Amino acid sequence: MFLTVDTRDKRPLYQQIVDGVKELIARGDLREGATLPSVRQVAGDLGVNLNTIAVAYRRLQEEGFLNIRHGAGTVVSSRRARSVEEDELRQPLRTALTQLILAGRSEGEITAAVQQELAFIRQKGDSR
Amino acid sequence: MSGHSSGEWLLLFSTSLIVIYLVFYLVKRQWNYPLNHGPGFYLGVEVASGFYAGEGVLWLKRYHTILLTERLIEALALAAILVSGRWNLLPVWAGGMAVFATAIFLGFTAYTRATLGANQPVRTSAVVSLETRRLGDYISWPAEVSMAVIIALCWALLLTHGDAHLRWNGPVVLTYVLVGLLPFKIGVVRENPPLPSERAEEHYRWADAQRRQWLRLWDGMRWFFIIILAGYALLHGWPAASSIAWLRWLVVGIALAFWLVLMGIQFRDSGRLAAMGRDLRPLGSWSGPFRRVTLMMPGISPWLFGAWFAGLVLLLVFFRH
Repeated sequence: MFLTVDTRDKRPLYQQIVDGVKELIARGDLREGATLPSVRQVAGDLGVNLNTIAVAYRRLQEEGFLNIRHGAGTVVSSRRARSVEEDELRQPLRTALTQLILAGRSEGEITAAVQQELAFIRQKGDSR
Repeated sequence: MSGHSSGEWLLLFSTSLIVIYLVFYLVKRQWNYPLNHGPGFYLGVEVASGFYAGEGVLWLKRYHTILLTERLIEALALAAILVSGRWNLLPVWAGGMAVFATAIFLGFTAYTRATLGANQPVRTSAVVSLETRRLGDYISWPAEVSMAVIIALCWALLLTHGDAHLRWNGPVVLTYVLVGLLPFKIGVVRENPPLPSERAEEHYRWADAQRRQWLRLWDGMRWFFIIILAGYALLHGWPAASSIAWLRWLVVGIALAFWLVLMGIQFRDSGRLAAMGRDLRPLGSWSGPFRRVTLMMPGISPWLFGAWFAGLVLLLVFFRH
């Protein structure tokens, strides 16, 4: 499993890590109980500050995806986020849809794009 | 010499095999090493098309000159041993030359990186593997403990029973080399270069194969030095050793045989690695957005290696006076 970070991406680095790990979990690439490398290893491989990775891991822990045990490593604890309000859950989708509308996409194109992305995530998940 | 003719013949035979191996390795693996990844790269540095029709000719000539000079020094040292009949120096020569050749290679690679590869391409993206690399998956702690115990026993034997011919330079330098290679092993496991976004998995597997090959080679070298140290401790710390004429030959023979097997494995592994990475980008031929890789193999800090090598040279100079 690999995570890609890009300096052209507008999201901060830690957020790219958070989103990347969530995507791997959603696809089923990272299953419950899977161990993630230490903060030191990820930071060293990327060449970034330890804090950047630590913040990303902590955020994932707060959202219920990871269980960080000192000395025992970081383990994927769940495929589901802790219970959140429906409205909070939909907020990123709303933002993405707004961006697609502002970019001039038609409703049909947007629906097709959403279905494609969903199929991509499901396909990866089902293949495991 | 006349009293040990059969032992000497055995050593001559072993030495001939080593020389044949070194020439074979030079021709088959080292001569065209800079071109391992095709004409788009030179020693892990990305070069423009047409490089080998212009500037590259000089760079290749430099590389070949370094290689031949290194081999010439090895040949001269070997000739001096053969002429003087100091056979017990053969394992020291074999091990010393391996360390010397590695230092020369790393030094020249670092120089190439600092000059020709000073402006290597910087990528905006980097890929990181989420595979956990634990020290225990790469380093055998029981083997490390065994080495430590053998070293301690050798020192105990030499300190308590060392004979009048005992010279401390050998055990000190060998122990320095043995212990000093452990931080490199840890460094190699801990670090991994940033991966390119295209064919990231293949690059990671290749980097991992290189990592394991380096660890295998270093462990082999360390066991080789352990054999020499143990042999030296036996010869100079075990009172009965002086009455066993063939013991010296046995130690030298075992060390040389081990060295030959080790080099055979190295030859096989380097061929496999070259085939595995032929159409991949050499590690460190680009810079990630947050860090650059200075040498071709993962995890080897040139500063750490430089400090270790400088320490070795200082020790040798110190004992020379």
